[in-house]
Amino acid sequence: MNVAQTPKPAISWPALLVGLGLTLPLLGILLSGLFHDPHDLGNPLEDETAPRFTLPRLDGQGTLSLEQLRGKPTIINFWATWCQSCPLEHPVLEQAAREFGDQVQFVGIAYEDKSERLSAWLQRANRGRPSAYPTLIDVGGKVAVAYGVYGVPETYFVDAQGTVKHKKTGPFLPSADPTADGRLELRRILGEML
Amino acid sequence: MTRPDEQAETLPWAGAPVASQEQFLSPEADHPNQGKPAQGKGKLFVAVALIVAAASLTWLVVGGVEQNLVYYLTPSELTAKGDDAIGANVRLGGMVAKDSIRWRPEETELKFKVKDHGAEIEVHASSIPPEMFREGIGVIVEGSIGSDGIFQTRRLMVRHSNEYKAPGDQETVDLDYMSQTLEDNGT
Amino acid sequence: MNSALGQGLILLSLATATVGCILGFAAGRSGSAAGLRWTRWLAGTYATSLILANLVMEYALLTHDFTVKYVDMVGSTSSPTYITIVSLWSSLEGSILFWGMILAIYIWGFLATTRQGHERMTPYTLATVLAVGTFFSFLIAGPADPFSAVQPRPDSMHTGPNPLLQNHWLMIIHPPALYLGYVGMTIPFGMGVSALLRGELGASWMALTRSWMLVPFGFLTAGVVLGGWWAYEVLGWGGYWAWDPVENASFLPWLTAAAFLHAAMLEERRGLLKAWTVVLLLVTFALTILGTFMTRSGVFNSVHSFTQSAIGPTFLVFLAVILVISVLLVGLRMHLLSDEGSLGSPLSRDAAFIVNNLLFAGFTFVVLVGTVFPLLAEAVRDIKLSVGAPFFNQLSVPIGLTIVFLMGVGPALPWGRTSGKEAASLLWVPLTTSLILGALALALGMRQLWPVVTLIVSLFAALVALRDMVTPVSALMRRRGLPPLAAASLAFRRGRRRYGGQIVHIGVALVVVSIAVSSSYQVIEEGMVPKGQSLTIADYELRFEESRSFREPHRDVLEAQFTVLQNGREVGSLGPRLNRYSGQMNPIGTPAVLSTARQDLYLSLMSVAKDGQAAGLRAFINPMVSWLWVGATVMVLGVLIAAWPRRRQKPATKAAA
Repeated sequence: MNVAQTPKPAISWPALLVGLGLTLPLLGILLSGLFHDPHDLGNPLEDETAPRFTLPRLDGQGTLSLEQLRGKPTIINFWATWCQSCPLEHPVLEQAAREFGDQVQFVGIAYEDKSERLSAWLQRANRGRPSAYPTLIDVGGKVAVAYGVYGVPETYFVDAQGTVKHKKTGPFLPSADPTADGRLELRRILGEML
Repeated sequence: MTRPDEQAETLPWAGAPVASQEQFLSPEADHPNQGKPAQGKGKLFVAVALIVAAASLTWLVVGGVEQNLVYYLTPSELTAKGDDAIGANVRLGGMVAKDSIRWRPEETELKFKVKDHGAEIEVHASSIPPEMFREGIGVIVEGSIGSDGIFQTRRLMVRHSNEYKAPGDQETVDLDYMSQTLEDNGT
Repeated sequence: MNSALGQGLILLSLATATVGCILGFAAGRSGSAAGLRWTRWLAGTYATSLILANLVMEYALLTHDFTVKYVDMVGSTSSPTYITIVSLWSSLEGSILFWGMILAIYIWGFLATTRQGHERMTPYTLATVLAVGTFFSFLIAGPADPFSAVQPRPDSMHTGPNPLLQNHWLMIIHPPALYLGYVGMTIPFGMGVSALLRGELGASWMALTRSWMLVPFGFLTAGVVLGGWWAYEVLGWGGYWAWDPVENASFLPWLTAAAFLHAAMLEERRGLLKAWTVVLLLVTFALTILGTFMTRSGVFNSVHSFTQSAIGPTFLVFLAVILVISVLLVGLRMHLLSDEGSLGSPLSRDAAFIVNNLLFAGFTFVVLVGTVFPLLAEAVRDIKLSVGAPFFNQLSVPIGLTIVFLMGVGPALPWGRTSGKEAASLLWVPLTTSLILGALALALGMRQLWPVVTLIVSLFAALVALRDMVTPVSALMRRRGLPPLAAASLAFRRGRRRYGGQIVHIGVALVVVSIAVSSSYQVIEEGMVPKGQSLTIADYELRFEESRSFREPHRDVLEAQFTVLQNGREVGSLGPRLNRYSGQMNPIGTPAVLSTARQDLYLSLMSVAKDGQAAGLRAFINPMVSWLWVGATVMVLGVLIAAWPRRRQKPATKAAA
């Protein structure tokens, strides 16, 4: 075959332009996709007043209502014992609650669950230590419905005035990768709220 | 494999696979690589044809996409759109409102309301409620809203699964609880 | 121990790939024979170390060595052995390691086929393949490390791989088929890059590239269809293809690979489309990387994506590098690959092939735009939407049917040029036969336009393919006086590629017809069926007998038993199920299917009343679906025949001739 070694320093501009014209927009679109979660259906509550609730505490010490927590930013975590990623998320929340406990209030709301099973689960997860924040029992799932919980875990960030500022769908998971580390993400959101 | 007498015969497709029939039938056919040059004119023709084809395809694709979009909306967003939303393909995501489910098994007719904190929309479906369907559950219904304000849906999905799991981490199977929910939530 | 050994092997693979890549490019430039020898040696070592790393992982899985991170993630002492073996590809980290092993096998194969000759082309090819290998070894060594030593979790946490993957045996073979297709595209990519860098594209290199494309193409065909089959058998919505992003991701490189296989023939026979042929190699590979990104990044909303992971950005960077380098290579080197021949008349096989390539390219564009459009809308207008299946169907039906029509026209016409009269004489028999059969179908009650058109076009293409297979046999019988079987065997041995190709075409015709019929003539009925009563669909009666719930190792099952009566006669019983997996609220249905050659009766259980006295059932009649799987098998068989290596001719017999 004839080896075309002719010194023709030709650049095929049409090929170059068409090629870049097709690939660069594609790359741009894919890049933008990384900043959106397709499973996130939006949070209709954002910047709205958080739905009120008064729920019994798991530890039996009466009830707790959102009004009682006004004045401090409140982090509400919906979870359940049957949820797969909750055991991994729990230590992250525990640690954050111990660290930021005097500035913010963490509340766990157990969704579709039973108190005996919740107590046993927490006992095991905390290795016998007392929980760093209270867990409430959402009888009939009414509070979860009011907040628009799609699945567990979901975490709502309510500011001191009782306005929903942020919602996290899915768990805060620890990871060695800083871009995926839920601990850092939680810290960042807390930082924005304080 | 090949016997000498077969080798001696020089059928042009022996060794050069996928030959045309003509060559097969007449071994002495011209070598195909002998098209007559029609270069300049041909190239221009090809270029113009390509541009026309690419342009018309792009036009078709863009037009086609615009017509077949399915929007994800919440009840408030759908209500806010007012008349603009009539007939558009929508995936409506919200909660099944309390005391709104009317299910008539004989006609396979299901009516309920989907709400978020701001709005409530009447939804009609001619399908069996899925296993987990009940008040207060998150649903996505696909269909469109009519001028009567009723959302007719072809597809009803319950959206209440715990789908945000990290790969590979399963908690121990909690059979008691699961079998219980299987019993509790039958419609 | 396993952990350290595995990590060592991965580091060795990373080192050999990096050095081999650099050395390969240097050897390609200098043409040094020693450089090539070393590159081949490094490539071989790279492949061996990856295969060994996979064996170490399998050993760790089988011996339940939970100190290895991946085993701790997916292992379980209670899983059956075959599940333990296949859990290698059940999760992200393992599947990337497995990916490395497949690449290693392909590299071994490539080294074997290039032991002699191609000295100018192999260094660049190996360098490119090893560049890709460097990336994957980097992933395995860092971001997706399966080997790191961990403190085992308590044994109760070891529940085995994602239960959804254990739901059906198709999920065990579907991923490897797809990976074999995806990863295999790396070799032709390297060969294309080499052709551009060298600025030459000889006949024997082209032939070798085509063979290396055929192998992954066959696997990709199988992978795409198995994906559809899995969706059909497991997801329970009554169909097999929903234009879901992940399905599209596997279909895109299939389209461009098919385009390449045709363009390569035009290049070979007529010296045309050299640059375009090489571009298709690059695009196909880029689309496999795009497909991996789509499945693994969690950017797309899909029923098939089980995992979301943090390696999305890494993959995007890799895709960007591949695309930009490819575009630059083409832009700067394309002029070296100028065409030698010229285009034949509009009535020729050349023209049919060119139009076919344009249509394949158009098809790719349509699917790509439809798939990424939701991302675009979200980025630009900040709204959430999806592109409905009608969009894909509207455009893919006409494009696909034109391709099938050309599949008949192309092989019927000669290369170069034909007179109108000659073309007519070649086309009229299959054309009129298929039209007559189409009219017959119309008379028998097929009333919808598109299925009838599809039937006619596919029959036409299949008839041409059959004629193309019979003609050489009858010619040999006539001219050499051979008995039919001997003539057929000789014709087959000598024209294996022709036979392979035409068998693929017949498979395509079968697939296309069954898609058209099954999607146009689907019947759906649904209702609550009280115990002892029936739901009627077409000539079937489905009597609800009882429901029962029981426990399987990873799931709770609720099953409803239906007796199937056809025209009042009992023909079987079906038990569609609802399965609830550990930790998941939503039950997942497993449909029950009664398959016959004519149609599938497909039952999806929607719900069971609390007292078990009624079952909510959705029933489908999907005509001709079995033929889709048959047609796909025929296609894979055809590819296998075309790709089967030719027996080397011995120099002695050559001299005798």
